[in-house]
Amino acid sequence: MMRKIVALLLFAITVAYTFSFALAYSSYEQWAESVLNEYPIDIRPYVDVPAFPQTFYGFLLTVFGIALVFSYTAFIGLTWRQKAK
Amino acid sequence: MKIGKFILLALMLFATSLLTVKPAYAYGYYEKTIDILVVEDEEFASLWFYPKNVWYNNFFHAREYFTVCGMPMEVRGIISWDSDDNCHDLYYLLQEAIRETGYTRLMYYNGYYIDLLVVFTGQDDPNMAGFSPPDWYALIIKYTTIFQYPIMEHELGHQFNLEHCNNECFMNPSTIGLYGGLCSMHLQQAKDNYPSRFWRWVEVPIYRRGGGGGHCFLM
Repeated sequence: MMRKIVALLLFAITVAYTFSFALAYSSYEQWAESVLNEYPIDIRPYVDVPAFPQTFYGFLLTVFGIALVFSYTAFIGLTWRQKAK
Repeated sequence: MKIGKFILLALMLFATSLLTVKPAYAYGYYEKTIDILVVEDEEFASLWFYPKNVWYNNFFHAREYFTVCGMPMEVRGIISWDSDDNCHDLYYLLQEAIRETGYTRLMYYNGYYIDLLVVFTGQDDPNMAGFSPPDWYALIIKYTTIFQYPIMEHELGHQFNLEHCNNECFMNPSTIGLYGGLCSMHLQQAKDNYPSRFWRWVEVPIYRRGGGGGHCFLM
């Protein structure tokens, strides 16, 4: 029962994170495009917009995404260990 | 007979000229080292030592990489400038730094002709991580990004006319700091652009015209 609850929770978090990541990344790309459009066209290739993990929300999403992957591995490992017992 | 004498005379003159008159040729060499002038504003200069340590580390690694690839760089001086505290745009901050230091390409400073201006600022631009237009021979980096990621290589790469790419390369903008080297395409591009951008022909003046031994004050 506990395993099912944890699995459901992880699944729900994954779905939520997928959508939020997609939304955040698409809006990040729009924002980067708008920043580039503010500068003359001859120097645009040399303007460095902060990368997605360098922005605040991008950093948060990346960190929590990595944490989610780690929690998946921990969950799989724990269930495997319980089954082995 | 007259012509024969003339020819003989001419030959003798030619032989003597070979002994006495040395061909005057200018000699020179390519000055290949990229001489860098570093400019800090007072906000960057008054930072806590740890970000400065990171900056020195980044600069060291970038210099090491380009030097090993055959593009030597040397820092020829560190000077300060007063940045506008209300300006939060690296584009205008770099313009201001160039204006305040009076920098032009090949500016004479401390016995060297400066090839590149590296500006560090403590002003925070939320939109840009760094800015390095190759036509200006100058680049600017803000303290937050230099604190978080080693983007020195990336900005120096722009100075070799390199643009962004999607390979395992420090010119990949989404993975700055992950890869410590250039992809093969960009390395070749950098090596191709290096002479036209940074080599400087240095002519040595001719002190001895003609022959007759050295140190003759009349010659």
